[in-house]
Amino acid sequence: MSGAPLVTGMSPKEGPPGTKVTIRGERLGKSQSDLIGLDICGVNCLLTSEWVSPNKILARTLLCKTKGDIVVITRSGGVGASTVQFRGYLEASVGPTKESPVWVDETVSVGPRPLSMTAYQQEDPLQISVEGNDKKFPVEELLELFPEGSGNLRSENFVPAWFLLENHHATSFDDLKLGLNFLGRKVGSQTEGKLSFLKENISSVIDQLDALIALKEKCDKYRTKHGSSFVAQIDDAIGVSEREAGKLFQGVLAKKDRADMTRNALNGYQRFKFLFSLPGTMEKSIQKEEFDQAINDYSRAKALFEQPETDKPIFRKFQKEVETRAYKLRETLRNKLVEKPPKIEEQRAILDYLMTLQCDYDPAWVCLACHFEFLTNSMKNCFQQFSSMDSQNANTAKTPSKQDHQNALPNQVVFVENLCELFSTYFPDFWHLSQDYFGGKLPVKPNLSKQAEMKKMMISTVQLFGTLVTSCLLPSGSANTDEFEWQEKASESMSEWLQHCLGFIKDTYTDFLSLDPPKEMIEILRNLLFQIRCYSLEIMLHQLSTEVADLYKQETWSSEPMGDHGFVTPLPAKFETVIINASKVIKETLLQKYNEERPLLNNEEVKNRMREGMGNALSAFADSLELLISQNRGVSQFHSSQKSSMTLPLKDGGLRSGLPTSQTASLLLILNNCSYTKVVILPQIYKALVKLGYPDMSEAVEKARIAINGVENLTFAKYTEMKYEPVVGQIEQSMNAGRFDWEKCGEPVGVRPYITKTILGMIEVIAEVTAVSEKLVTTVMTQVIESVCEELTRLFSCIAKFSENGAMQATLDMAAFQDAVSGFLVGNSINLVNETFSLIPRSKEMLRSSRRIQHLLDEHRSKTKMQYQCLISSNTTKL
Amino acid sequence: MSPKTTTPSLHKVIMVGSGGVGKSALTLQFMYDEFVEDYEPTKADSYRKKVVLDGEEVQIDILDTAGQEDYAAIRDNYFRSGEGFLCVFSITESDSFQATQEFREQILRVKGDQSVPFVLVGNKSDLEDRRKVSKEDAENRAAEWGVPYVETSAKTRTNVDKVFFDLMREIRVRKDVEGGDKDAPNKHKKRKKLKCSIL
Repeated sequence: MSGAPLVTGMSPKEGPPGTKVTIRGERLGKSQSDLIGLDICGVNCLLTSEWVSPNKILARTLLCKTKGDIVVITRSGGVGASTVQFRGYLEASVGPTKESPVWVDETVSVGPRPLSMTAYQQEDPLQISVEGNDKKFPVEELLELFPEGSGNLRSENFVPAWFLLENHHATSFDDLKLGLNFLGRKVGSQTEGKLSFLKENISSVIDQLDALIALKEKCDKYRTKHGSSFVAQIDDAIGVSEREAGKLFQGVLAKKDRADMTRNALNGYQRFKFLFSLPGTMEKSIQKEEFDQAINDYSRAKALFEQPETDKPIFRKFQKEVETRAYKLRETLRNKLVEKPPKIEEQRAILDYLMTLQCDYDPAWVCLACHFEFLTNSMKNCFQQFSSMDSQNANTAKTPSKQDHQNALPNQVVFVENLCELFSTYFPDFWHLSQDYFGGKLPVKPNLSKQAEMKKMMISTVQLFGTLVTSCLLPSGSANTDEFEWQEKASESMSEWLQHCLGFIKDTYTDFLSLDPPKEMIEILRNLLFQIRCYSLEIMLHQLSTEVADLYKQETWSSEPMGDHGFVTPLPAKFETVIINASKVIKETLLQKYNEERPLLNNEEVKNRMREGMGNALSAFADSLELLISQNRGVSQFHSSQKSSMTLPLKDGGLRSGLPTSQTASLLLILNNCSYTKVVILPQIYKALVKLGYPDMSEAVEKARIAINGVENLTFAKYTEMKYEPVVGQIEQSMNAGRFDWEKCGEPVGVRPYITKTILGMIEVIAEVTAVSEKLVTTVMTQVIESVCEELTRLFSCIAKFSENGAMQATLDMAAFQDAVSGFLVGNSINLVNETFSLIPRSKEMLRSSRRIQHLLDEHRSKTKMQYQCLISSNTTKL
Repeated sequence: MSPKTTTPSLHKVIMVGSGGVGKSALTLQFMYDEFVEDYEPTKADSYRKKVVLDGEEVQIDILDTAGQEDYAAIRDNYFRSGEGFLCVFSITESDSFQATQEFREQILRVKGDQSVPFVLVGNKSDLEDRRKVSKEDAENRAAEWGVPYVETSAKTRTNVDKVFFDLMREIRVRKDVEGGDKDAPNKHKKRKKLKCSIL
């Protein structure tokens, strides 16, 4: 049992007849002779077997058609078993020249497929190199030479001479001989080979012979049975089977056709699957705003639709679907473009998309137009929003983000702010887009003929901006803004926001300049800026005037000696500071050259207006001073009860502080201020203005000077009036004191007290004036004395009749008076004094002759020496 | 004869791998303790023998396939019948290592089973000096696939038995799991019956 051979390995495990196999296993015999049987798939292959070792046998398979065991039979072990099997099969193609020891179904290999002859022709039977056979032997000649022959080795009428002439007409004889030898050898070996092949496959050949003999026997038997017609029967049978086979074949063919069709359809579907789902995916992409995806898909689909295979109704249908989607997408994109101009990159992307979608219009132009419209509309809307808003609901309507900040701002400012923001945000995009459009940087081909229209649009945008701002900020009438009327015109408080607005507009302007736009557009903005600046200049100057005019409120009446000008309050200095500060501000904000702006001062009109304004501002100081005077009156009335005790404080070298010390004193201070302003402050202001680069302001200064002169005069008149009134007023009273009668009075005993009182009053005035300004003493006194003289003249002219004593008394009085004020007597007052003298009968003789008068006069003089001194010294110091 | 021998369980092993990596050498070494020096490309060889696996007699059926690409088309059929696979590459040839990926994929596709018994075998470990595929790379790949990696030498018989036996164990485990309660008792019955008849 255990000695039985066992096959455990087969290499290969399958193959056609004649396959060389290696059989492995155990106890496969001790030698070749020990091996007495080898069946592969039931076919005895012992003849072809070669024993190698007890574990290995080589063999060649024979006609094994099925799968089967490998059975090894040894003398020592008997019939073996196998754990492996061999599968034999017939090789499909056995060529006619391929040696095969088994039956081959030639109908398959030989029948329908003609063997290509070329494969055999290439082989030269003589094996002679064909090199150098360039020259072909002409075929016509060969045809002539061998009319019946052929050069084809396989044809029946093969003529060797033809072959030789055709292929080897240039070959040497020796070579031909060698070729012949080779051919001989080859033929010999083939016959020999055939013999050996037969020997090798003897059993097959014998089988085949047996089979042929059996066949012949059967045929003979059949013939004897059925006669010679059996061939016809067979033929019929063959015919029937052929038809049947044909039917079968047709059926199979039809099935195959259907399968092919289905497969093709599936392939087609697979290939164009994408197309069928395209409408859906496009829709989805569009919804998700993945336009890129959608457009890619679309272009892919388009390419596919252009292929001839897709020219089918079903594809057309889908193409239609896709086209509608694409149309929708176009619409969506267009709306996106139009709705609210997106960022420029986005815009570009959308334009790109639109171009790939091949829209029938110029999307860039549409985009530009939309942008324009949007810009215009949003600016207009902004205007409407703010202009129609009244201040009450303004706060609520504002954007909440800025609310805190804007609450305090007037509507106009917010509007300007918003408008500027709008403009700076959207205009550059607009501009860039148009630049890109005409510069060909967009994926769109620019339509250059639209350039003019573009320019118009640009300009109108800028113009709109200008118009809106103008109508908002500038007083109506300064610009023709019929279309846009700001409902609530700038209130007073607006002026202070002008600067603020100007700042915004300037920023916008700078942004605008950075775009490098054409000149015309810059000009528009420049004009706008210019106008606003002019306006704000005016406003500022006006404000300055108001401020200056309000200066009087700041008067503290604390005064300080100021050189020749006596005591001066800080008011003029304040005035100067205010003016200069304001000028600086004006210069900084309005006059400084800013980014190609038109300089304001180059304009003559502006210069004039500025001069005028400045003049107004300067002269406003005069108004202020004037106001002080009138105000002072009230104050002085209030202080009137104390007035008597309010003697003029002596100078103690320092500040004299406090409220208006007295009406008169403050008037004097005002006078001083006037002259100080005229002499010192105005030239200083002038110089400062020149230094600041203002145009010639001499006119303005002159105007101010005149105004101040007026005030000075007024003040002076006021003052003197105030001074001589008490002095003059008391004259009549004290002249008639004690019912004095010039007719009945006794002989004069001295100068009557009304004169001394008058003189004392005058001295008081001198003292007061001197305390404030010594300069003024003469002017004031001349006036005072003139008034006094006038009064005296009036009084004396009223006296009906003088007695002797009365005349003497009058003469004495007048002489004393004349004596005392001689220093101040000028022109009119001298005349008046003389007139008074002439009113007194015989006064001249008396003055010259009466000793008594002389005596009394001397007496008086010595009595009032100090007073004289006062009058004279104050006068002489001036002289 | 055959009815007398018990019918031990049969484990079908398939050798896969590029041409010339030593599939046949491994098989022949395992089957017949023989090392074939000369190289003759295999078409498809079949081997089957009894072995004792952990005390149990089993049959191993080895299908040695062609590594050459020419035969790639017919592999599907072979793979279908396989229960376990030895995927062989030569450590001296990185291309053969790369090819294991394809073999693995094809096997998984045909078997439709991620956990089919499978051993990655790096053959020709005796040619250490000509190594091109690092052990690490191979181990990484094996880990990635969740299969064992063994280096063998058909020449020195290193690990040859191990790979076949390891694979058979896996196949057995797998069959036990799959067969579950149905097969196991059946087999027992048969065996008992047979034993009885012998007695």
